[in-house]
Amino acid sequence: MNHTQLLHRTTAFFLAVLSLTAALTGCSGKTSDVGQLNVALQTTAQGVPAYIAEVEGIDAQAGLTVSSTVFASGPAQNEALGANEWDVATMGAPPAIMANLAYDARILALVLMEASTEFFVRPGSEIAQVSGAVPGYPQILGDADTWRGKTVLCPVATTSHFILLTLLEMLGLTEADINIINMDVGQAYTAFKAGQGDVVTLWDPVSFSAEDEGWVRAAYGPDIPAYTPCVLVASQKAIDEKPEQVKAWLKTYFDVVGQLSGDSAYFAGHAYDLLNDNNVTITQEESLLFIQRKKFFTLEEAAALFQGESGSTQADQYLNAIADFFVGQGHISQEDREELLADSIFYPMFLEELAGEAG
Amino acid sequence: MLRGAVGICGFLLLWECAVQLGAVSAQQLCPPSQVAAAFFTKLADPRPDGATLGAHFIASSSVALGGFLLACLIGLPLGLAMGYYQPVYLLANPIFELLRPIPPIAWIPIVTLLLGIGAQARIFIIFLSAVVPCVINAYTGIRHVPERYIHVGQSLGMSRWRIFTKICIPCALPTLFVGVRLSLNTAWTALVAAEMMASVRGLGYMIQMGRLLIQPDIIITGMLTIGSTGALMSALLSLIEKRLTKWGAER
Repeated sequence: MNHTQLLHRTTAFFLAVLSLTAALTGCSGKTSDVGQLNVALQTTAQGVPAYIAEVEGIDAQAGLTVSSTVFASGPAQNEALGANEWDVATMGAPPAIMANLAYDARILALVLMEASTEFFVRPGSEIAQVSGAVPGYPQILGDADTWRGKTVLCPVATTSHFILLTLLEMLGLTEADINIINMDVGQAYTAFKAGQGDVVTLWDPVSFSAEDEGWVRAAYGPDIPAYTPCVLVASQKAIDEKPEQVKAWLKTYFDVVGQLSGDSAYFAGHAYDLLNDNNVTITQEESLLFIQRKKFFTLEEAAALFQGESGSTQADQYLNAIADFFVGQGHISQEDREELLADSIFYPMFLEELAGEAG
Repeated sequence: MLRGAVGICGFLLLWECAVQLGAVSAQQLCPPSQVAAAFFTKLADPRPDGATLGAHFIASSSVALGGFLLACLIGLPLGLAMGYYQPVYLLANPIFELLRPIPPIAWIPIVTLLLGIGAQARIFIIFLSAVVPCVINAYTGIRHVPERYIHVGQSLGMSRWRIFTKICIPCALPTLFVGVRLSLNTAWTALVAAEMMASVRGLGYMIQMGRLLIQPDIIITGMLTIGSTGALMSALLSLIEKRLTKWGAER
């Protein structure tokens, strides 16, 4: 073999190796490394798509290295935010408002309406004997007379509290007409079972056991016009220092929702894992119901909530109602309320970019 | 006392400087000036948790003192009896040792089922914590009565009951008071856990709402109020102890 032939064969060999490498890389479909992101979840429905994206490797495919922590509640997530322990999170609107006021966290997107609050009474309750008192809402039991003076077990400063006040308004009552006992849902369940209180506020999956106890559902959150979104939140630090990662995570979230939202069983299977792995006991059947009750917004629907003049969008209206509730309760000041408006709690830019890219 | 005041002032100054100069983020720890402002505001303003500091204090004091007094009423006689009468010790000690390590928060579901969600349930949670030092110290006080004192009583023909009441209990008083002071501190320590049960008033509730609303100044105000109240009551108990245990103090 002469030098020319050797050169040609060597070149051909290296070209072959390069092609094979490129082919393998191409076949993996993996985007080049985008970076690392710390994610805070709860054992709630809005966390399920993020959980799926992580455990199914969808985040990894997108080049994201995700590290998730599951917290017991919104306040626990916010404490961790104060210590810069996470970059993005899934949570309810009330803790998101607190996170914005305290730490300048921003809402990236609204992903679904809270649909888990239920109000139960005992079968012998006078509330359970009356129906149809609220025009247009035949599912709501009781009327002003039967609800007045009742002791309601309800966690205060939560979406459930907000929904309860709206329900009272529909009945022609105010908070002063009932006696609210502040209890978290787990304790309230135990207390109600022990004979305490007249009405108990529960959310799923705890509420799934209520009918087994013989309790009667007096009202259901989605039947009440009190709109409380569940949201995706990012720290201001993450928005400033990790914009690509935040946007990539947002994309994988909505990719999961878009591709799999018709497959409740698939979602339910992951909801079962997420909850049971984090000390929330739920059966396979309950996890299916847990998911079937939730209507996730698609990317387009989520982006549409931000259409219109800033401050007057649908998203603004939802959050303003909750902020007004907090002001009314004295939990935040009017100045804080104005700060929420002036320095917008929302950061929909990534969402809008993704919606635009999706065409 | 002067040195104590200087120590506290120095600590507060260090804390204030650390936050103001950025050594500690204000998001992670609010400065004492902000805590002081929150304290004075809460004296008259029921926001953001629905009651003034005074209302919270009264609610907590009644629950804490109720649990503490119940602990003394039951724990001290039980501990004294366990220390002096072997059958009582053999009967009560296994149950006491079983229940003693259980944290108050673990009792909440059971207490809810048994006693409901009113003040009696919160008082019972506090009692469960506060009774432990009462029993232990009363038992220890009796067990450490010098044998020679008991022999003197016996040689004078005193009955067991008279020896118990005239010799053992006075001798055990200093240790009893240590237990009472510890019990009082424990009652205030258990308050936050107790007020996780169905409270809309109380320093523990105020701290929880501060947590929910991310207002660390409210949280620290609640914590310092609990700490200060506990310290003041402990100092008061020390004064009472000095009067009652003059004999023991002179020894």
